[in-house]
Amino acid sequence: MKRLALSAGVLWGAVTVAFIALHLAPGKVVDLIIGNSPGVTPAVRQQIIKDYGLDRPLLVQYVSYLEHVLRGDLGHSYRLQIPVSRAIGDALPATLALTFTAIGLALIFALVVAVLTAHRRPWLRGLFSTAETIGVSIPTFWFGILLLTVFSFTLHLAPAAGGLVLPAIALAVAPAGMLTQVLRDGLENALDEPFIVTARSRGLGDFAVRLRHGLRHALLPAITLTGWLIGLTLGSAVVVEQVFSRPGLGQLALGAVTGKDMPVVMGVVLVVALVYVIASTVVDLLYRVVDPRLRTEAPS
Amino acid sequence: MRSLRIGFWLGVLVLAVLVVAAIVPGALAPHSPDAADPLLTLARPSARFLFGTDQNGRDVFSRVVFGVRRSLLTGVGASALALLGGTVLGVLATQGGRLADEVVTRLLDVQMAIPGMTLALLVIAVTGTGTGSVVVAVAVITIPGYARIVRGQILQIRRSGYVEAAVALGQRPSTITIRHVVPNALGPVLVLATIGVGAAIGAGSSLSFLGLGGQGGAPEWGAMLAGSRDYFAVAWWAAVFPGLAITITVLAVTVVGRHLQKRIEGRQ
Repeated sequence: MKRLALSAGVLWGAVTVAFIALHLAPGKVVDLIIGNSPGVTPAVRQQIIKDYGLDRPLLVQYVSYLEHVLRGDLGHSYRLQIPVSRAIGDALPATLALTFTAIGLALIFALVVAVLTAHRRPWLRGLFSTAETIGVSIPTFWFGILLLTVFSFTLHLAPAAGGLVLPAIALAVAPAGMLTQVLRDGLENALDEPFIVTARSRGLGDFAVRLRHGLRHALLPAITLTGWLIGLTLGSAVVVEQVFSRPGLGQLALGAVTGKDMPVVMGVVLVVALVYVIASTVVDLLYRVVDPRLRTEAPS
Repeated sequence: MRSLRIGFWLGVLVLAVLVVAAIVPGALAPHSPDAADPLLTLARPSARFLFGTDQNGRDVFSRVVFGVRRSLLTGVGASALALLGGTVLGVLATQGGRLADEVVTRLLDVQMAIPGMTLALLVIAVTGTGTGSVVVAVAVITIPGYARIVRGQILQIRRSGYVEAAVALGQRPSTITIRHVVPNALGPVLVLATIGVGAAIGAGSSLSFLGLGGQGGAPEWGAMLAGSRDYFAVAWWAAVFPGLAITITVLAVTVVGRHLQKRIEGRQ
């Protein structure tokens, strides 16, 4: 229950931030709603002022905006000539597919590398931890450009646009670096615990010890990080979509920012916040699966 | 441990070169960054043009060198702004009573839900495009990190012996905050800001790549990459070197910052 209230609070906050942004932006609000779209007649302009209640006090406008959002009405994009919810609905699946493929790749990489390199020879560990630092430092968009140059233009292995694999790899690099670091730290701490000695003394192989006993303890911080990374990756998708000319939420948002199409910008912010809230709720549930001790806590 | 030290000194060396490039780019660059030779567009790297030329026939190496200043200023400016904003929020949360604390922590929660790039786009939608907007946008998305740490530090320092002593001496709460609490809270935050400069340079160049930074062809790494976008297939050098410059800069800042962090943690 408390969890739900907190999520609702965060979403309400995001709506408020979007509303404040609209009114902080220089220029008349009605012009921000119309955006850079030619062919809006004065009559339509009057209609917008009336619909949004722009001639009424700010508080009334705020309440009416909240009401619209609650009904799933994110306004109208005059630049694209369609409702914002439809523009987002069209763009979201491609970006979600990209985001979750990238997170999936990052998780697989992190699990394999962490399990194989935790407490191994210093040079092996050092090699991978250097690679992770570089991975976190490489700008996502530049790595995308490199992949594109090597695989599409030089080796002709992947289509220059539209494919899912290359953009997902570009997007996965930074999360993979962060996840591997956290997982290996957790695993190394776990492997120093007395219960590991117990497990080994029962004749369990090294690999089984790592997988069955170490990993479970290392997973909790990694799961928290993953929840946060889903949001981060969803946001970073904008640059990767630009590099690979891939349609999606990022391209929609970028077009809206340069075209001063405020309803779309606000809509994207709300939807991204919604995805984050859902992801962090799932993370909370996963916690209980991984660590049974959390299940016995008094329900809150 | 020895390899770590080598990494640190390599990082310091790179940063020293970058600072020289930022102050006197003309000393390192063989050509003017804007000298366009229409007869030498997209020329391969050679002794004359170390990194080749771009689509306008400009020397990529000179443009990378002249781009250092803008990138460093963006990174340092955004981090300083974020440090300031984060400190104000952190102090407000801990000194302004329970309501202020509640408001600030909830605000930070909301910011967590709007990831960096999306929030940056929202900020630029409000402020308009331009170099200044990019700095502000990068600062806004990094403020919460600083605010959280300042808040945590202050709460911890308040329970310390020397603050108790100051209270016992009858000093006023505002004096204690300014003279004792904030200066002690700032140490770890300053180290974080050093590392943050690297991340800020990366984020700033991403926004420039998207075409949201300054217009008008001034050398900037992200914008150079965006400009070379249509020529990747034929001129890899125009795409590779500016990106390499970003990566090496971010890496150098991160390595040096982490080293400083470890040393400070080791001392405490």
